[in-house]
Amino acid sequence: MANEKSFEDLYRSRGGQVYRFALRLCANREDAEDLAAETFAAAFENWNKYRGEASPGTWLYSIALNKWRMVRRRKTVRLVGPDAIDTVSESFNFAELELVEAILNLPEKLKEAFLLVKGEGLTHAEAAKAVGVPTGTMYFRVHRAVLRLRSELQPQASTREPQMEAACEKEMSIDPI
Amino acid sequence: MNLKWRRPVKKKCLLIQSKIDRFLRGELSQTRRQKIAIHLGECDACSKYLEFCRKLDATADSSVEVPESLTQRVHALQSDRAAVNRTQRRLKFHLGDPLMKKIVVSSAALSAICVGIALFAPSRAPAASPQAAFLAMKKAILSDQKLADVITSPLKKGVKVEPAALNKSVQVVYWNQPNVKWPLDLDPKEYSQIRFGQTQNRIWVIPKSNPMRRDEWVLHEATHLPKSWTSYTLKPTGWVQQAFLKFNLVNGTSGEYSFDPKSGEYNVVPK
Repeated sequence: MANEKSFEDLYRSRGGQVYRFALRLCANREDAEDLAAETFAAAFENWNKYRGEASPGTWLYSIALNKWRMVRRRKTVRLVGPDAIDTVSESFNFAELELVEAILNLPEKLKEAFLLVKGEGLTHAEAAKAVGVPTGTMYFRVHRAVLRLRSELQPQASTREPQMEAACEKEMSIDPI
Repeated sequence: MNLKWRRPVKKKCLLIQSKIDRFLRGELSQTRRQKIAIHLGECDACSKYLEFCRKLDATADSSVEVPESLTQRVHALQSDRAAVNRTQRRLKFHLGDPLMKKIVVSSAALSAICVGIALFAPSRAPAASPQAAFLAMKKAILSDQKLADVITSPLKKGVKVEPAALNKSVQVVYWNQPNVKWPLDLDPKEYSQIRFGQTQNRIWVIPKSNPMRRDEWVLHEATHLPKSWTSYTLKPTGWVQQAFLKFNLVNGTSGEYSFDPKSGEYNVVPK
């Protein structure tokens, strides 16, 4: 069947990325496997409806995010722990465990934005489409996530004044690319 | 309070830093890129921020090995879903639209059930609710003044029975513990549960005041009056009987009844 064949190609090319994204979200191998499997199951079910408006990768990331939000709604997920940090650090190139811990401690929206843009290498526009927010919001979330991580790792670098921050956010919200 | 002095960051730096991510990814126009590049050459803080962003970007390309179990699960899911799809297509081919088929079948089933109910419905009146039955029982007992007197008397060894009451064939009452509160004095609302037995002659209630207690009435089949009532409390050793109330049927004998502790029965001394 043509669909199955192309779906097989999709899994072969994107399976690793989706699993890595799930691993970074869940911080647990078993949950990540479940999430990735559910993502591909949903993708296979809706493969005929996929119109190609977004790239297949973006489409898969958006499915994974929706599934992840459903999981979080069903149960309280405890992310930060020694095992979780080890698991996630293996999926990144850096070896600084403090950075991994800081990423896991990010607020959920900032973490999703950071993992898509910085972790998975999507453009801001692609990540915005996957999350379902305007591109400007995605710029803002990624920037906030980076600032938070920087302030966690280098407290002396955090010198933002509240009024400056407000001015920055205002500027970002109206500034076109 | 943190009194450590921090050098304020200029507003221009904040705006530049908010665009550095796009600068690195080439998502900015040529003019903006030039402006930012000039600023980065002059500003140490923004250069450090640029380095931090570069360091984070370097993490994106790490590869993770996909577990074999995930591949197997996805292939299994794929084949399962494909089988379901094939079955659906076959059904659609043979039976027409499955949705229409469902509607037709469910409407036919509903009509059959309605006709069946209309033809074979029992003619008896609907069963009373447990609460209504409880109230009816209470009313039946308390409406008989003689019987009510007997019941509410905390007698242990015996009770004098009037000859007129004996005609009702329900006479002897005894308690195995003194000062037992007659449960029918309670309002039905004081019970958290009232349940009927399958034979409709048994009522089983759980008082709200003590959820561990179970009170039970057994109605006599002929008279519909309580035949026995037992109350149990769950203790660590098991269920312990605390109080006991019993109605014995005594037919046509008038006299004074006395309780024999040895035999555990009532002796009738005829007049």
